[in-house]
Amino acid sequence: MVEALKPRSALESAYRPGPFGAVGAAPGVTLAERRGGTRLHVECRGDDAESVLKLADALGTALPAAGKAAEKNGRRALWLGPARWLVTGGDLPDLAAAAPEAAINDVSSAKTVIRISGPASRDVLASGCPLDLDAAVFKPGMTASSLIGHYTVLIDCIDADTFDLYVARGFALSFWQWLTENAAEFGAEVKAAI
Amino acid sequence: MSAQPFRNGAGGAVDRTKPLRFRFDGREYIGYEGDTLASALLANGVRLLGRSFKYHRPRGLFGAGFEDPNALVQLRSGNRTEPNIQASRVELYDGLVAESQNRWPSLDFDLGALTGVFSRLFPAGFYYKTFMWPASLWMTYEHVIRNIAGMGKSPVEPDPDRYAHRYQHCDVLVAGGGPAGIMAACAAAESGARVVLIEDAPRLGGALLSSQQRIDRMAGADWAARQETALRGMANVRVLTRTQAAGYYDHNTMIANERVADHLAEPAPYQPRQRIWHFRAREIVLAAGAMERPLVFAGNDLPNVMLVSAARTLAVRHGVRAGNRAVVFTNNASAYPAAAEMAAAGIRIAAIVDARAHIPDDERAIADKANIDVLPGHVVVAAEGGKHGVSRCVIARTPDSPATESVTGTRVIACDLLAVSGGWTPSVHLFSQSRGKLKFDAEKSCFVPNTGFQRERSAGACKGDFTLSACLEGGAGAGLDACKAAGLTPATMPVPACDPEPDVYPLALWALPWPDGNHDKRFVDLQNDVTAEDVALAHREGFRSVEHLKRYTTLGMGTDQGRTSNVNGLALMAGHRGEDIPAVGTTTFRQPFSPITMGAVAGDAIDEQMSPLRRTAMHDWHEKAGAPFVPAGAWLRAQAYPGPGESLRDAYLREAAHVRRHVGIVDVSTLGKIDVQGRDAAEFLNRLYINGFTKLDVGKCRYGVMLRDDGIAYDDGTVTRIADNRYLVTTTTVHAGPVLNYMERHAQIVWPELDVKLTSVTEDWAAIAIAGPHSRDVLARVIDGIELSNDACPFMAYREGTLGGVPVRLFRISFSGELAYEINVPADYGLAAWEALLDAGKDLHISPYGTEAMGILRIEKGHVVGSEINGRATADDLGFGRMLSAKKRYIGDVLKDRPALTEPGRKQLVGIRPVDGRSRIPRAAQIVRDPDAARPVIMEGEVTSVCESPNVGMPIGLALVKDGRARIGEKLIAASPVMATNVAVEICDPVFIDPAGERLHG
Repeated sequence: MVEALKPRSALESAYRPGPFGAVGAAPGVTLAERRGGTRLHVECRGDDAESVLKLADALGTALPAAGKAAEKNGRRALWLGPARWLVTGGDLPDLAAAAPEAAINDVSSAKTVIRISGPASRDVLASGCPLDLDAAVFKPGMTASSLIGHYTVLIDCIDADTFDLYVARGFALSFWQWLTENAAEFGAEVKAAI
Repeated sequence: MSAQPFRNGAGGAVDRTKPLRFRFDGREYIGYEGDTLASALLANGVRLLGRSFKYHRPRGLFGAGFEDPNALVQLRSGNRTEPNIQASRVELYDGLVAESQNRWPSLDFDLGALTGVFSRLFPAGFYYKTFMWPASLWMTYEHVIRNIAGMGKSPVEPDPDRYAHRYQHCDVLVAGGGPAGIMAACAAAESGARVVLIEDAPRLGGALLSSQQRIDRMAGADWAARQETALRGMANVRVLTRTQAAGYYDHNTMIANERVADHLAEPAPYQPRQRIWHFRAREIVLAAGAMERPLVFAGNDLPNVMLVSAARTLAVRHGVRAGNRAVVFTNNASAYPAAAEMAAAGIRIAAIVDARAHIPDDERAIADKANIDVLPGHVVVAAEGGKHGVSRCVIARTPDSPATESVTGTRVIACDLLAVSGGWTPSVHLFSQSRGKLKFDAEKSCFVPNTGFQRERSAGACKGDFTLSACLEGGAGAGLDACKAAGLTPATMPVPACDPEPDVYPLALWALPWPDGNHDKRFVDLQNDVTAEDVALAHREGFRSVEHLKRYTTLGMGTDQGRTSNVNGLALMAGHRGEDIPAVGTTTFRQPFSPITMGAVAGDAIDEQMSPLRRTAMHDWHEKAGAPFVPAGAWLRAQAYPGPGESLRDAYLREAAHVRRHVGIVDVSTLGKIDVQGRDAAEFLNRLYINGFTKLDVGKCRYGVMLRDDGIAYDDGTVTRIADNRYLVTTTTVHAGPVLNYMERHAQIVWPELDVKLTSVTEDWAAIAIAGPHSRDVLARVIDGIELSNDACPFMAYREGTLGGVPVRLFRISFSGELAYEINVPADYGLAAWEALLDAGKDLHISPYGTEAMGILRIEKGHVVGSEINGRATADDLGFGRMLSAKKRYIGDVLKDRPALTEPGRKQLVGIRPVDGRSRIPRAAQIVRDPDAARPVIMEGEVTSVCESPNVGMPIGLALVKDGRARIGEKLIAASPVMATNVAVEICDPVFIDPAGERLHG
């Protein structure tokens, strides 16, 4: 029989922890891939309020409204679209059993997640994202699916200058190149994957 | 090295302790920090800076900023060289290298100037008139003309610098950092607005930097510096200098180009050279200033004939005397304070020649105080001199009528600088780009903003408010108004006091008559060498609309877009037409305001970022194996795996043969995968596909075909029932996105009553097809939890199990016609699964194969792809007629029965093989009976797919042929006029291998 398969990151060939770009006192941004954990794509019919409640019960947190994220006990739900959410966490309950009318897909492999933080993180994102990313406008707990460069990215604002960026696995390496190139100007560091 | 003979010992904003070396046309000079290339050259007494576009006339600096049409240089060298750069906007840096343009062999001795000698042969429209026939030779003429006309040289080496873009939203965007813009930004910032202030110059101040007017009891430049420091210190303000507001677009979007590192020899490491800003502003304040207008007289293009504002800027900002003895020629008040400041900088003002007969007292007082003679009611009718500058000017009494052609009774004043002012032209470009409408202000003799279209307001000189006090007041008001319009509470904004100055009411004066004995050209557009005579010619020949005038004479079509020539040109045309200026109108202002290098426009979207790539989980393995890649949408797919010494063709022929003999694996992760769930999922699929899905059992796959609404085949793929109310749909790689959109549209809009939820899961699963007689044996070694025997897992079965502890979905489907399976594992495990299969199948000679071999295998089986599902073929044309269900309704079922789609003569899918058993069939050939028949040759069909088939042992192909299924055995010609090849082919069944399907059921 075969040995247990090992997961590989889409960024494996390009991921080099260490400082890069312009030299400054402290890096303007740090980048780290978030690996592991489970991510579930959850979808209900628009009029199926009952399933939404059942899902909230199972998760221990209400599913967030448009443009928002909700988190409890390490489980984070991100709004994706009308009656659609991405639920992430290390230890997720069996949502399919809890809400049989909802469509649940395990998409843990489908997205590469990159955490960007540091004082220049908003400037780096604004190098390719047409949304208003001002700290007073795009605040912690808010999410948005938008373009960054040529890439469709789900942006999850974690705190004032920290964001998780969800990008399709197939585009992850191209996006990583974009991100590191645009971060270099501000001085940057790649941290070990988390 | 020279001593800067025209530099004053003190004065100006240059730092005399920081000398900078630079080269112009190979000669070395010294300038100072704070200089522009133009001011440094003039400090060194270099006045001949270029040759004109058409006549190669000697030219010098004319304007000190954006408006300069003359001093265009080739800046830098090698891979950083850039043509047509305005010397007036180039900040001097140590080591700068520039060359003049439009001259050969040298600026001093230019052969092209001969076109000027014969200029009577080169009227407006000359090139169009002369080189029209024969049209086929235009390309040749154009090449030669471009060389003569030359406008600098494009770099030929790759650009070493990087360029960036940035998006920024704000409440109030202020375009222009002169006194009006500064006040607007301060007012908005004090009101708590998010403010962006953009200014083209390296520092704020605008005209304040070029004058000695005082604000708030300090020099204007110092006041501007103080305000800049204050604004930069505010958290709600972003001040961008060296940034040109380039374009005003819909929804209050403004594009600006920041020259981040152009003032340096080269950018710092990782620093972008330029950055394009995309602003989205709730409210915009336009404070773009105004540009001085020339006057049109004979020889008005000589070096050292320049705008008064240019001479003033050189004197005040750079401590440079543009000449030692100047004549100032004006039709308005603004030249008086300028002349006084020039005089204070050590330029002897021989006279102010003023076209106006009556000079107001306040203006007269300025001249008297500076001890300058004024000649009221006089005009300059000619400038005379040589290539190194004007040496004298000819003056006469102001003519009574604009139609006066020539004058007598002239006299001459010697001068080495002729400064002219024909009034001021507000910079209405951004306003006009925003779709605002202009009106002509006859008193101020200029176009000013009238009706706005977007959320903007103008302030200061760009609105026609030319005095400093009006700029300060108007700027503050505009800033507060913008805040109010943005829903903020405006703060109170005190307006500082400033020195008074006379307002500008020019005497209209569009072209001056010639003096006796001088018939030199009177230029309207200096950059494009358009004269007053050219405007008259255009009128005579019927090109009387301003848009026709522009195209016919090229007036205003240079890189400066006619900044100095526009109003004079259309005023002259109005005169010829006998109409008012407003009746003639203006041409449309277009973005960008000033040229932007293409590198900045492209930004980071170059190389891979121009068109991002999508890679499968096994990509790195394919790359290491040396596979060339082929794009499929954004995806990269491995084409084949050439071994040592093997060509690509060798490799795919080997791979295609190997699969039918042993076993092979291919990466099919790129196929679209859509998860369909809900109580009505089966019904939903039933309505989408031509064949039925209600009876598909859990654990089974079925091939399906979709039609478009119009009855034409759209896409094909498999549908697998994963659970009672859950299906997995696959699509072709290229149609993955469109098919999902199509399904979503029907689920959300057409049949909202159905309970169906759609999720793209393409990226979740890495997919590997394993095919060949030994595929089951290999799988059995790696898969847990699935009984793989033919009985337990027959053709078209679906099973779930594990592979190395990871969940695996197994589909017994076959694209190759062999015993085959497709397995899906979570994408993170795709590479490990791929390696596990190769490892497990080593002794069974397992081999990877690429898209080329996959294509051969499918052609051998007559399976269709996008080449056959081509947007014209019906399901029946493609041989799917028996799949069309008669028991249900589905998309396309009505229109598929249109007469044109059912009548005889439809092109049907067939196989083709060469009659001689070896000739390769040309790609995309037409199928004809006789390629030599009389034209037009009747087309019997077309070749859609071809390959060399190692398993059939000859080239084969698929084709769509009229009534093809009834013509099996017929011999026709595959004719390719493109490849000049005709091959005799025999029509055959499209399934070349194993028509009974024994292999895939084995």
